[in-house]
Amino acid sequence: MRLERRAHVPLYLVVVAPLAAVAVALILAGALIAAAGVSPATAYAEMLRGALGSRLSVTEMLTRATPLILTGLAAAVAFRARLWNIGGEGQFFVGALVTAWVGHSLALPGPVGIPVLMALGMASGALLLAGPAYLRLRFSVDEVVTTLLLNFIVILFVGLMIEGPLRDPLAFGWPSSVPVDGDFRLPDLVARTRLHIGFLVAIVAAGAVWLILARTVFGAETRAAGLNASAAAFAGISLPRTLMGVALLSGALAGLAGSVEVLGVTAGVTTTMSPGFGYAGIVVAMLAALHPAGVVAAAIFVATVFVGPTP
Amino acid sequence: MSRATGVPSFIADVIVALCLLTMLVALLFTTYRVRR
Repeated sequence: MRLERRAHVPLYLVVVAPLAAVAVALILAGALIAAAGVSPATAYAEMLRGALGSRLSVTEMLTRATPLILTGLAAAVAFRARLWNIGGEGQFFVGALVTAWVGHSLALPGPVGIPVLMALGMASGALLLAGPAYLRLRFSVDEVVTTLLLNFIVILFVGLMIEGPLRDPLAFGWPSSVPVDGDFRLPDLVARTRLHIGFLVAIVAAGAVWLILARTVFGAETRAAGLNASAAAFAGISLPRTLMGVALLSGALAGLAGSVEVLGVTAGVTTTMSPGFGYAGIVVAMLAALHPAGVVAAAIFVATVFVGPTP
Repeated sequence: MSRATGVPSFIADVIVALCLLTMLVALLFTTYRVRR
């Protein structure tokens, strides 16, 4: 037996692949649940009830899905161009830190300040990924290593800042940064829940990314660079310019995730505010087959898995 | 779920990790076909 590359991938396979992957994963996890002495059917029913069983649980699940959509988009954009951005977690934290830092003392009205803070979060995430992208383009440094290791550096830096200059004096010794001004908190999407309009921001971002990738010259260049870099260069596409553009877009999306999480949920930054949003974004992007619409569905699935088992 | 059934909530991390692994295998079979 041997593996032969398909000349054309049928659409049904693209749709069936993630569904089959999820089904197999649930069967394998079911074996572990059964080994723990619990019926997998009961456990999964309880998980669904925990994530979708009430108005509160649905809104909690969507609140969790919001940063996952954005970090998933960040990974999908980068992976399409074969830029292996494993640094979504660091870009998430740097976006969150800059948003909290500036948002604590920004003297602007709320409706103006919120977009400004989001733009700053995006810019900081983009800048963080621009470094590894430059190192790859200039010196062929593997971006898997640089982006992955930057995560730890950024989280240590966040720890330094929230124990030092950005420490919240009203946090009763809890290591947290100063909170953003109340005027800059994102309005609730559903009253008396934590679901905020950042969810709509994430959906709009998914639409914008789809538009960029499917309907612009830059999107076509990105796909070409990912499918065959040599052929793309031969066709006259500037690979350095395309990859740097992809890096800036990807970093900006992950930075926006951190910014939205601060403005919508946490107000301040702690080193435990992310249960791995950056890393889970990679899973989301892969489950979505790197398609922006699939990212939304995959993020909701992963959020259901994360929220469902919590007691 | 974890309180009702006694299954640790870390099962969520296991499920997500398994999803990634199975998706990578699925992508392999999407890109390639097995020939005798």
